[in-house]
Amino acid sequence: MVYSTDADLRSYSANYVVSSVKNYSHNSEYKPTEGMFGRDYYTTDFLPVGYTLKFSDFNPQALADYLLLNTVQSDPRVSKTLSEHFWDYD
Amino acid sequence: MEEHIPKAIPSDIKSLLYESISKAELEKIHSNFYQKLSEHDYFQGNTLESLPFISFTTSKIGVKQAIILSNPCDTDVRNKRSRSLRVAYCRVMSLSGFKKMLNDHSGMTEQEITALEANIKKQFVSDLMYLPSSNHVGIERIAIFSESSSSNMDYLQTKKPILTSILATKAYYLFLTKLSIHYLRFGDLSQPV
Repeated sequence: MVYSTDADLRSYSANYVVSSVKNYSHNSEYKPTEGMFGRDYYTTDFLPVGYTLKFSDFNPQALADYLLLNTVQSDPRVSKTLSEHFWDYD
Repeated sequence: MEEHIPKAIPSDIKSLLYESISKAELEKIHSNFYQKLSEHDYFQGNTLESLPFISFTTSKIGVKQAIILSNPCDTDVRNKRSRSLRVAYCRVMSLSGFKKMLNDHSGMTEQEITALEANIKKQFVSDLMYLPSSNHVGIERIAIFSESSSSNMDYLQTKKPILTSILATKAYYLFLTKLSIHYLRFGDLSQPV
């Protein structure tokens, strides 16, 4: 499933951060604003009715970067315990 | 992303900005995680009450709550395919049940479990996805990507497991990102194999 081109996402990312910097310089607390990019909605025929992607206050590239940079692996005791007690807990 | 931040901004402010943007986005996603239940029964990211699993450790077969992993094209019965349609999914369990299991059997200290819980809620753990509670979904849950299984679509259509939640758009994107992090990883091409 493709939402947008990689170049589009990077463009969003760049614009988002630059806008955020301007916003940050005027506000001590960061608050994303609606309609920051003028291109508020991005929809695709691949998604069923009700699944509308809205990028005006959302930066998927930044989120992915953030998660990738902070990803940690599970403690091996977790997977071992899960295997042994798979049916015992819900 | 950091390369796009103007160079004039001090590095400590850059880090703070970068963190604040990402944390704010994640918090917003968590605060509006699900959408109204509809008829997208077997759509990717939907959670279902009871799907079959097999445990190779205990050789037991049974049903547990699960979240659909297969992409929507691969679960669409209208698409032509050369073999029967199977749906891939992974285990979902309550966060409280998960913590109790670890507390009872893992040998982890309370502090270690608390630290793990904090990382789970920040979506940092590679094979786990935090599914927050909501008005509709009363409890916090986790999806465990590494505990996966699959079933024929015929089985699902016959048994009709109860749909328990559908991800909102941004939560769905987060789900895809988490799936990608767990299942996909480019090797280090700079190193000889």
